[in-house]
Amino acid sequence: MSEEALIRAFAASVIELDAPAAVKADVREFFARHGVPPEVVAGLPEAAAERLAIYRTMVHSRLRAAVAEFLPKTAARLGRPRLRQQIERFVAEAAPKAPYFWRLTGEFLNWAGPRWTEDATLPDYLLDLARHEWSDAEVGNDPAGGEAASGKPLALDQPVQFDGTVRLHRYAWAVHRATETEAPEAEATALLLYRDRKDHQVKVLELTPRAAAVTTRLLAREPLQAALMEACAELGTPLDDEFLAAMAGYFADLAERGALLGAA
Amino acid sequence: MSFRAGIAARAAVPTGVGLGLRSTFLAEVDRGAADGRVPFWEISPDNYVARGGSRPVRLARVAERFPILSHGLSLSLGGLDPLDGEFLQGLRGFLDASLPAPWHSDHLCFSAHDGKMLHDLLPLPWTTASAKRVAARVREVSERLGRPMLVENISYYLPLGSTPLDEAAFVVEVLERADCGLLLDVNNVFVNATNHGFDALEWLAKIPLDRVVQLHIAGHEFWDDERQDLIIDTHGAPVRSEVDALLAWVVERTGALPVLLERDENIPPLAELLAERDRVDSVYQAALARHAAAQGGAA
Repeated sequence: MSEEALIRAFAASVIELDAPAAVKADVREFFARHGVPPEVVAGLPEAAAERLAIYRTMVHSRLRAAVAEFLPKTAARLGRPRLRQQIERFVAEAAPKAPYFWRLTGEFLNWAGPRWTEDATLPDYLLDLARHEWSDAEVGNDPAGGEAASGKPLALDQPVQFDGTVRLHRYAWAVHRATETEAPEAEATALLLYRDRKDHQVKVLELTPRAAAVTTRLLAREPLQAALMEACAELGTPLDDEFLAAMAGYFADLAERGALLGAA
Repeated sequence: MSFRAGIAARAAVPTGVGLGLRSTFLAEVDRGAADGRVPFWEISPDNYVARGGSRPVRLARVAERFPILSHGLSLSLGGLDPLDGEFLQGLRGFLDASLPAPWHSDHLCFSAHDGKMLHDLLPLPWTTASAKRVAARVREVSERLGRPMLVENISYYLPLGSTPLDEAAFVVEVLERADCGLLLDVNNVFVNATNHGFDALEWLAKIPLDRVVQLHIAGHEFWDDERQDLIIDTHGAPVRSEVDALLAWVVERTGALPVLLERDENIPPLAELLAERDRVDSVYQAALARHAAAQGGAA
C-alpha cells in the first residue's frame, strides 16, 4: 500500500546511514527503492530532497542535543563532528527504543559501550566518564527510592536495607574528579550513589576499597557478617577492631544520609 | 458516548491561556512563582511515567493548586508499528493516579518505525486509508487510556506526494472516524500555510470548530536565517502577530477554550514567559469579548 511504503521510505531517510547520499543523488529513486509507486513518487514536490533532509537533521539534532546535555564532558571530548557521526550510527544500528525521551542517553551508552571499548582512537577513560555522567540522571530519575525503613536495627545475620536508589559503580579512572578539559587519572575508583530523600539531589561518595568490597556484598543481599568476612578475605585484611570501627562509622554515615535504612 | 460527553463526564475543563510546565521552571512554579497568574498547566506525561525523583513530587504539589492538561509526544498514532501496550499501561496508570485531566492528546504523525523511536513528529500521507488506520488507533488508545483523546495537527515540511485529500480534509476524516476532539495548533496552521503557500483562514474554515477542544499557540523560527524561505515550528520564539490573529479568529467562533502557549526552546525566565502569556491572554480575552457580543447580538 502506497501510504505504508511512504512511511517506510520516510523513516528510512531518517534512519539509514547511506540515506543522505541516496536522497541527494536521486530522491525519487530513493522513494521508489522503498516501494513507493511511481505515480506517488511523481507527485513529490521539486524540493523533496532538501525537505526530506530537514527531517533527518531535526531528528538527529534532537538526539544529539539530549546526549550532549546529559554527557557534557563526554560530548566535549568527542567533539561535535564525532558525536554527530556516533548518533548517526546509533540511529542506524540500534536507535532509541523507549518512548521516554530522557532515557535515550542510556540507550545510546548501551550501544556505544562495546564500540568505544574497542575504538583505539578514543580516550581510554571516555566510557567510564560517560557512564559516570549518565549515572546522575539514572539515579536522579530512578522510580525507586524513598522506601519506608524496616525499623529493624542492623543485625549480623541479616542483609541490610538500602534506599532503592543506592548503587555502586566501579571505574578504572577517577572520573568523578575529571574537569571540563583535563583527563581523569588512572585509578581504581568505587563510587556509591544515592538520591537524597529530602532534596532529591544525587549524592556521590568515593569509597575506600574495603567499604566498596563490603557494599558490593551488601547490595547483593548477603548477610552483614558474611559481607564483612568475605570482604576482608578478598582484600587480605584482618577482620579486627579497626576494620569494624571503620565500617561502623561508614554505616552510621550512610544511615544519617538516609541511604542505609536498617536490617532488611 | 460521544467525545464531548466523555469530556463532560470527567474533570472540569479549564479555559484561558495556560503554559507548558517545563522542567526549567518546575521548581519555581512549585514554590508558588506563578500562583494566580496561570489558569492551567499542560504537561507531557511521557516525561513523568516510570520516573522518580523531584519531578513527580513537584508535579503532585502543583496539581493540588492548578488544573493540569495532558499532552503526549510518543504514541506514534500514525505509525505502522503496533501500539506500545506497556507504554499505554504505564501512561494510564500515571494519568489515573496523578492527574484528573479531562483528556489526553497526541499528534497526527508517526514518531516510531520498526521498533525505533525517533522522538519527532513525522508526517503522514493524507489518504482515506491512512485516516481509517489512524482513526482506529486513536479509538483504541482512547479505550485503553479510559479517557477521551484529542489529536493535534502538526507542522510538515514535505507533503508526501499528490494525495487525494488535503491536510484539512485528512484531519477532518480522522476526527470523524475516531469521534475524537481536535487540539488545534494555530501556529502549525500558520507555519504550513507560509511554507506551502495556502491561506490559513481557508484551512481553518474547513475544520469543524465544534470538534476543537483545545488550542496550541507558539512561536517559530527560520530554518536558514539568510534564505528565510522555510519556517520551522521550534516553539523557540515569541508568538507572531499573524498567529495571534488566527487564535482570535478561532476563539471568536468557539468561545472559551483552554489555550496553551508552548515554549520548548530558548525558554526565557519564568517572569518573561508569564508576561508573554499575559500578552496572548489579552488577545484571547478580546476575542472572547467579540464572541460574547456576537452571541448577545444573535440572541
